[in-house]
Amino acid sequence: MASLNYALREINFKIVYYGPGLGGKTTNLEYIYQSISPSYKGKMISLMTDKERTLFFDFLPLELGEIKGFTTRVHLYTVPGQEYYEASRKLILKGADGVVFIVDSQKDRLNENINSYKELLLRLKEYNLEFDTLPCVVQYNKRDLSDIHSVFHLEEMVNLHKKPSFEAIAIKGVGVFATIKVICKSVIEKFELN
Amino acid sequence: MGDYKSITFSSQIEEINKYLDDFIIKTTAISIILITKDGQLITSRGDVSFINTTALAALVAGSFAATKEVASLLGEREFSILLQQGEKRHVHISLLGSIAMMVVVFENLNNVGKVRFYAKEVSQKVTGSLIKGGKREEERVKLELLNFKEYATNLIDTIFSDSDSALIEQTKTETKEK
Repeated sequence: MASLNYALREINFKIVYYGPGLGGKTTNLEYIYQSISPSYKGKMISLMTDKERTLFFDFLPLELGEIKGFTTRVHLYTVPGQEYYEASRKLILKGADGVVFIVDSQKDRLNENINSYKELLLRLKEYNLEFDTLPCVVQYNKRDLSDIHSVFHLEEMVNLHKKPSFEAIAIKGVGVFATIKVICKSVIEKFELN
Repeated sequence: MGDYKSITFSSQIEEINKYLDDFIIKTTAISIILITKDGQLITSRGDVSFINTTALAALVAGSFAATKEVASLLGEREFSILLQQGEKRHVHISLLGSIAMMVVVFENLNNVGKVRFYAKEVSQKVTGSLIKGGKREEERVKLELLNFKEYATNLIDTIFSDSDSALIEQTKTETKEK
C-alpha cells in the first residue's frame, strides 16, 4: 500500500521486479537508471555478490517531483532470483503496490519461470495481497536470443492471470520503458486514500 | 499491538517530533530517523543533511529484515536492536513493535547506554502516536486524488517518452553503422 505522509507532504509507491535468477531484473533497473534524466532519479543501490549476482536487492527511487503539493516517489526494488534466497524475496515484497514479473524467454528456463511465478502467488497470499487486483506487468525478456519460446507459449504457461505483457531485450533497453510506464500508471491509478 | 495505516497525519508527526527532539537533547545524538518496516521515511530530527534518508530507509529496512531471518535460525522471533559501530559515527536501530524502526546516529560511543535506555522509553511513546492515527479533515493541504492521478500519469509519459526517443535514435544509428 502506498505511503502518504501529510506532514512531509510525501507519497511513496513501491514496485518490485520479481522473477527467476539471471532473468534481467537488475538489467531493467540499470537501464532505467542510465537512461532517464538525472532530475528524475535518486541514488541506485545494488547489493551484489562479487560475481555481480543480486545478493539482497537493488533499489532505485524515481523522483517524480512535486505533484499537487506532494513530493512523489516510486521506489523500484528487485529481488534476488536464485532459489535459495526465498526469504529475502518474501521480505522485499512486503508493502508492494505493484509487481513486474520478468520472464526469461529461453526454453531451458521455462520451469524456473513457472516456479518463480507460483512462488510469487504464494508470497503475495501470505501478505493478504490479491494477485487478481494487484497491479502487475509481465515482461518476456531476452527476445533476441535464438532458443526461446514463443510469446504465445509463455502466455499460456507462465502468465496464468493474463496480466498485461511486453516483449523485451532489457540489455538494449527494448521494452523496458513500456513495462515501467504501464506498471507505474496502474499503481497510481489504484491509489486510494482509504 | 494495534494497527498502523500507511497514511501519516501532521498531528501525529508534530507529537512524534516533540518526543524525538527530547530524545536528542537527552542523548546528544546527531540525528534520529523514523522509518516504516518496509523502508519508507516517516520523519527525521536533528542533523540529517549528510544522510540520503531515502536510501538509508531502504537499506535499514532490508538489513533488519535479514537480521530477522538470522534470529529465526537461532530460535528467536526477532532481534529488537541492532548496533553498528563505526570509527566516528555509530548507529543504533531499534524496532517499534511490528510497525516501524527508529535509527539513531550518534558519535560519542560512551553514550551508547543512554541511547539504548532513552530509545526504549521514546519508542513506546512514538508507537502510541503511530497507532493512534489522525484525521484527514484537519490537514491544511488537501490531496485532490483525481487531479493528482491525472498529473502523475502524464508525468510518467513525459519521463519515459524522452528516453524512448533516445533509444530509437540510438537503434537507428546502430543500424546505419552496420
